[in-house]
Amino acid sequence: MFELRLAWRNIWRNKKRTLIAGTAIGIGLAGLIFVDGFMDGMMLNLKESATRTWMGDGQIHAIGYRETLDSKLTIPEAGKWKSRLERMPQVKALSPRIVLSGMANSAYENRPVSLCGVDPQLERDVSEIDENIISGKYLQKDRIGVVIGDILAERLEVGLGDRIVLTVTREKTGELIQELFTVSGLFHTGVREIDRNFVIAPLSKVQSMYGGGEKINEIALQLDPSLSREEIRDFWSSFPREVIDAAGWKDLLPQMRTVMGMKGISMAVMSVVIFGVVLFGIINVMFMSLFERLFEFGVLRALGTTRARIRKLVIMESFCLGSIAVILGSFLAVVLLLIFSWTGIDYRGLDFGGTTFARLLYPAVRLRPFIWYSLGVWVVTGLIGLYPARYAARLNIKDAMKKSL
Amino acid sequence: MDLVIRTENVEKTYVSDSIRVKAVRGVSLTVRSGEFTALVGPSGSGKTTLLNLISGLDSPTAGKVFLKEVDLTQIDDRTRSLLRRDHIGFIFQAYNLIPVLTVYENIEYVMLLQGVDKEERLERVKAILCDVGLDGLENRYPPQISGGQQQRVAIARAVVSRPDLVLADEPTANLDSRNGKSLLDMMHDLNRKTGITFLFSTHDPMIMERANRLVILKDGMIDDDIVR
Repeated sequence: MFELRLAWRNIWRNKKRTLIAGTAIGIGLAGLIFVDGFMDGMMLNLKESATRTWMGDGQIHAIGYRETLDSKLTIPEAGKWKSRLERMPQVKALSPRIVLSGMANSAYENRPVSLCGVDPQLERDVSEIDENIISGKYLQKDRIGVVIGDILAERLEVGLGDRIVLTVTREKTGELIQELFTVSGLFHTGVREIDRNFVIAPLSKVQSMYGGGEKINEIALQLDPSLSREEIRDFWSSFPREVIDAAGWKDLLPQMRTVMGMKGISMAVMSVVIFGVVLFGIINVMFMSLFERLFEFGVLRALGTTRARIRKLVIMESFCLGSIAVILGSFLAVVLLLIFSWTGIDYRGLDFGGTTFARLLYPAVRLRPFIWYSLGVWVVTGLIGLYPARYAARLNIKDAMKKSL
Repeated sequence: MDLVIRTENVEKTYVSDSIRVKAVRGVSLTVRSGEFTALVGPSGSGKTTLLNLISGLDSPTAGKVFLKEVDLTQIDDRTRSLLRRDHIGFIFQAYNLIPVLTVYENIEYVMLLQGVDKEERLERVKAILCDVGLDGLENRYPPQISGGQQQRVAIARAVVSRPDLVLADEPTANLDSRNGKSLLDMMHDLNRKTGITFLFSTHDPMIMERANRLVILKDGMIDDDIVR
């Protein structure tokens, strides 16, 4: 305790130097905490953009559908699977879909599209298409209206109330079938792929065009948000792989997994750089302070202070400096995180890792990085203190005190 | 009386740029408990080197140094530190107080190292502050008091842990004659009251007058040993 008091007073002998060093290390720490929060926020944003906009937390398909996108690969016994999923406590909401490749023709243009048949009510609970309607109305059950992305509308040169002809291939005969639909709503999700290609129509209408009865080729799921990682993993692995293809969003977007893996690498590189700065900053300050006080270390040794106590004193000085940096850095990190949590960072429309940012990016504010990176600074400062501590403990007492005894 | 210090043919040779300088040449000296002894001699006569060797701050090139009959040349650094802590008090020419510690904390420092409990430390520090006339200044920091007062604190620090020996290197050199005399009186009183042995290295005629033994060094050797 006495050494701690002495160490604390020693580091404040030169206030300016201590504050400059503490602030420099603190800025590094704040940078680490902020970037960690930013990366976590970015991952969450990408995940939300990917899952909430359309995909859901995961999807059920027939075996082979994801590889080929062959619309003939419909889910076998879809009704049974739907019922089973409805009974599963992990499933918060589900939406059966049929997704077909087709053509959309307006009076002026024609475009290849993905025609998605959905149950309007069930779809509301899985995706955010209804919330992203910017003009007109969302789908009405049993009406022949469709909603399309704003980019597609622009390309087809159509607006609300205009008619478009959708052409798809029938399942059994392979013949082309065309239907006339009215554009009842326009949506803008911010995900270019969806806004440019998607035509969303009532499920029964698309099924009737396809001619396959009530066949569907996709069930999108929203899971209970309170599920842990392990519970989610167990949920997806509970489906028989040889019968059905059940995949969570990480498997549906494998590039996202890579992007998330990059976070760990990025943070590791940043940590090495920042802790390197901490290392040399503290060594520099500690040695400057030590050389100014060689005489005092000699006196302390002469009075009977053992080498171990001298080492302890210097390590505590280093630790105190680290603590000041942690306090300053944490404060700065809180300020930065609060500011950007308030304003958000606008990356909307930017593609990253195969996904488009569809909403403002807010850095994640979590206690964990504060604890871990602060502990890192303390550990590093403690370890770094060993070097000047060893030097101080091994000083020749007589040489250190050569002005006197 | 008990032997506090005993040296046997102690030698110290410094080598600098291949030049060998013999600072102490075969000094054999004994200092008994309760002595008030001054090592005197011209600059370069080896007074400070001898004090360094006696205190274990430096190692002899040859010969042996015994503190309370423990051979300082045969023990490790930690044991030497603990011996200094428990048996030797130091008074330096430049006071050498720790500037970030208050007067009270400077005085209690060695007792903290010794593990003396808080109440006893408080009691002993208060008593010694009265003895050295610094009552009321315990919460000041060294830069906030005069040179004479700082040297009083140094004396208090040296004796508060009740060592067997106080080594004082030119303790009055930085003080005016009035302060010097006052401090010398104080050390003499402490010597008589507590029986603590004082060994000075000095040029100061006042100390030479008051010392009950003068060890005169010349060219690293004892030239004379006068007991009064």
